[in-house]
Amino acid sequence: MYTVLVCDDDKAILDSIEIYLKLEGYETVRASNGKEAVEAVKSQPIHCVILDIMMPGMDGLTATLKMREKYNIPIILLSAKSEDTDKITGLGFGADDYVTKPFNPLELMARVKSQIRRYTSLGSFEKKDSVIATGGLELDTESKTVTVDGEEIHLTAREYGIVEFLMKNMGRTLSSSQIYEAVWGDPSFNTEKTVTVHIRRIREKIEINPKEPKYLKVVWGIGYKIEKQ
Amino acid sequence: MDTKLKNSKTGIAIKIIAFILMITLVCSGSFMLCKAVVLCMPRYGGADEVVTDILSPKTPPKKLFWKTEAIADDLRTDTVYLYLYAKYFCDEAAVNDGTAFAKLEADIKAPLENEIKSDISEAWRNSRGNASEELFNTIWNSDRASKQQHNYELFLKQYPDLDINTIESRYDLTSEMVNWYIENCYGNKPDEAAIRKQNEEEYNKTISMAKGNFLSVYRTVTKRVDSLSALQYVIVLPDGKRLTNLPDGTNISEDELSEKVMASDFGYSCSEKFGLMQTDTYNSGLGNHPLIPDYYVSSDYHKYEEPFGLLGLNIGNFKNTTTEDYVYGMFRQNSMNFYLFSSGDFKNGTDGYSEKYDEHLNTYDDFIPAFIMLGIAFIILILLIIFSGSKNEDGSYRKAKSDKIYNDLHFIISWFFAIMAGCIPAIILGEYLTSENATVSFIGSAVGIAVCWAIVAEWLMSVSRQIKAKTLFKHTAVWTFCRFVKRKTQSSASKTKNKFNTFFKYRVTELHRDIIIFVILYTGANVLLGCLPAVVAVPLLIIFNGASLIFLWKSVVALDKIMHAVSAAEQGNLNVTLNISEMPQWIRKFAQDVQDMQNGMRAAVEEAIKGERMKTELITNVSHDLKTPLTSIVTYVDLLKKRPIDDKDALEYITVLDEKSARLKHLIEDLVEASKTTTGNVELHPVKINLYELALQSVGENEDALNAQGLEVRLSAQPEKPIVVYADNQKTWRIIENLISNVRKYALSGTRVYIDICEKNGFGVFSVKNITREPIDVPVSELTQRFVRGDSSRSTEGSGLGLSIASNLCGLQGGKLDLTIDGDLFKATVYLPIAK
Repeated sequence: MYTVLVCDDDKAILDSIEIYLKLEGYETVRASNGKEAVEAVKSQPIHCVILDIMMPGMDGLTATLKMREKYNIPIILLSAKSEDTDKITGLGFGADDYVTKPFNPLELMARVKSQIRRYTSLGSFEKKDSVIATGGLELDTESKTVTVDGEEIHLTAREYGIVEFLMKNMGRTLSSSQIYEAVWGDPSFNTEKTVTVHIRRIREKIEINPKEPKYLKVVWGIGYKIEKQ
Repeated sequence: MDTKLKNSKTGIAIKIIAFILMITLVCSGSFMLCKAVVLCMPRYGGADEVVTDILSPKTPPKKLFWKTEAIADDLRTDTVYLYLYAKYFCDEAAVNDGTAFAKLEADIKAPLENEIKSDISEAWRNSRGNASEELFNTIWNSDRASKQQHNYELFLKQYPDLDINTIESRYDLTSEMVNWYIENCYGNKPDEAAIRKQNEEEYNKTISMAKGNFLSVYRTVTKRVDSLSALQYVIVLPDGKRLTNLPDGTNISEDELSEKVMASDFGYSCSEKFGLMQTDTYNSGLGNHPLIPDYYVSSDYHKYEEPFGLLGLNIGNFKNTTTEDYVYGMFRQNSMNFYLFSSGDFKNGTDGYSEKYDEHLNTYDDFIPAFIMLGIAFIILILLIIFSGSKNEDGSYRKAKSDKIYNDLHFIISWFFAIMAGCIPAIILGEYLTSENATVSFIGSAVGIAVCWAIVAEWLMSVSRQIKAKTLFKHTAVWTFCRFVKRKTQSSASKTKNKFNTFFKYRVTELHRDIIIFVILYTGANVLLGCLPAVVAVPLLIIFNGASLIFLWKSVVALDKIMHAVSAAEQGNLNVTLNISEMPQWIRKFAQDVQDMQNGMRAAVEEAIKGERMKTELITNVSHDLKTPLTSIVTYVDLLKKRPIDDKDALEYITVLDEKSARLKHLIEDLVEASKTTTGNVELHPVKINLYELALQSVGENEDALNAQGLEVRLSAQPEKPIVVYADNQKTWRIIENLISNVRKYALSGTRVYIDICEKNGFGVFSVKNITREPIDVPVSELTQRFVRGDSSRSTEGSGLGLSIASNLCGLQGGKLDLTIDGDLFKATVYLPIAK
């Protein structure tokens, strides 16, 4: 049984998140500001923290810093600030994920689940040479399987080909025609459109929120890439 | 001077007294200065000698002819005294027993016989002339008187063989005939005895006068000779005896004496062996002036002839000698050798020479009082300039009568007369420098300078008054003329010429005035400087023109800077600062105006930007505050959906809540973005974007959704050459996403959507075409405004901000969003700059 610490100064939000977490079968610990959250982490075993940024007293970012001094438990920041710079700042402070308000409750739960899975299974997996991994995304070239946070994803042959090509060129941005020529094996001629459709479908399968992809990123006007994490 | 005094009549009186005092000082000061300057001039030689004098440090450069002349005069007088002393007075016993006077008497009488002879021959010469005239008339006059007839007959009897027709003039008469005529017929035969008697009587008179004066002259001469100490003399008498005041004068050889003379500061000698010698007075600082006169220039001539006259002697008697010199004549005719020279320490002497010599060396001292006087006059002038122009009780400035003249005319008149007066010294000094009336020329020069000074002082005071009353430029003929012209043009100008008038007014009052003044001053100063002698004029002209050039250059640089600042402001850069303190005075006000204008504009722009920022911040903060309650709404609606609810209506209401809360979330996000893009408060990270790849991605992302709406996407073929634009890819995607989402919302299902890319005029073009579901009833230009939607009913989803955001983002990236509506055909075109 895993325990999730929820920290928000808005009681209604706190309540609702708690309800969802309980529905998912997690234990919950409540905190209404950063200070309480840091103390709660110190006093009991916590497996995941959901932390609001703007709170009275100690804010979420400071609390993140304090927790990171000793613990490496996953921290999901929750904020009304939706700018890119806000997200970069939050992640830079040591958080593992960043969810903007108003959030989709199901998405938040999916992220919590993903974080806990990675946190608890970290290091327990014996890595094979045939496995290419980034973050929670793993691809086994022998068994031709793709897993996200340990859960196997069902991909078609083309989709697997695209993921494999991108994983093998991790960090590089590849254009549609490059992907087409590599995966389909034919020279592309006004056929790259299929690549972009495939990629959207892959994103829908492997990402929690396909609009804000974590693994398979769209570089607009240039191509696609899977980033090393 | 305190204000009370300044305002009272006492003040004016003081000023008048000060003015008179100043002119008096100038007059006497310049008199002394002229004198001092002239005394410093060499009498002999020209400017080259002055230059030599200044360049050569071996002697003090003092060539003061006046003083030299004074010393020379005294020297001559003493020479005469010494001569008389040697000749008559050296032997006191002889004076007492009368032998000395007998010698003098003989000397006086020495020319007597000669004089009688010459007088007689003179009388005969006159008689012959008159007699020959009379005889000639007697011969040829037909109408003879009885006495003449008698003489004629006697003549014919005496010379019976003479043909009188050969006598054509009186010069044809032989001297024999004339002598015969004088003896026998002429009445005025010269009386030799009478002539002799007359001369003797005159000489006796002279002798008795000399006798009367003899003792007094003896005393004067001996006293002077005894007093000689600075001057040393040796007189060798014909019998070898020596008269001297030199300690070893009786033993010293004459060769040595000659050397002593030549080595002395001033002195001369005449001897049988060496003739006449004199010291080179140039070396003793007396100037190159002969001590021994060969003619008498001095008005004090009588001074050293006096003792001669008193003794009945004539100095002129000594002139007819080989050297044409009096001194030589005096001594050598009496076979005396004479040595006269200044002693080594003559400055301690008591005979007046040391004083004269000192005086002559210190003639430069005249400069000091002269400069002090002129300096005081100058200070008074400055004070007068400062304090001129007292105030009336009503605060206006009191003006003198001369102030009524226009200032520019006043300038011309004053300076004309001042220069005329200033020329007087130059003319007079040059003219009378060598004449005996030097003092007169000094007075004339001093008066000229004083008049010049007075005119200039008056003008300067007038200028000071005009400056104080601020009428220096307005009270001019040029200004009055300009105003007259201006009034004329204004009265005749119609309303349409108003523009011209303002131009004219501005030009004449500000810029033209400055330029006219500059040109007048510049030309005037150049002309005036050009009138000066070249030695002075050339450096002054160089300095003046250099300064003018620097002034012009500075003005041009300043103007250039101002123009630069203005054009920069026009480009939007309001931060160009002008260094006003470094600019010329006349341009500063203009620069200040430009600077103020810049500051005003900058303040306005900053204010506007600040306002927009605050608005954006406000919207951002409000949106944050809205999001927190919205989060609760969203989550609790979701929780509600999970509850077992039987009521069908309740389920439907929950669905509505779900939809509307989602839309609210969307609206808030769009609002913030629209606000940011409108104010340009967006960070851009432009990269190279391949438009075709972007089109592919946009299709890939949206094809399924569009297909679900019954829309078919047609993408144009890949261009032969990749179209690469330079833009921020996130923001560009936002533009495309907004356009596609519009298509999804408003396109008629069952139609096709065309996405085309091409290159046009340096821009990459991305266009989306579709058929609208509803007719668009707002003008196309309003579609990009905030909260405007194609249908004014606002019943459909969407914030009405999408196109506004897209348009702003295009603009921020240097491109544009173009919308066209042709019936139901809606076309959105994005232009983005091609990457270089």
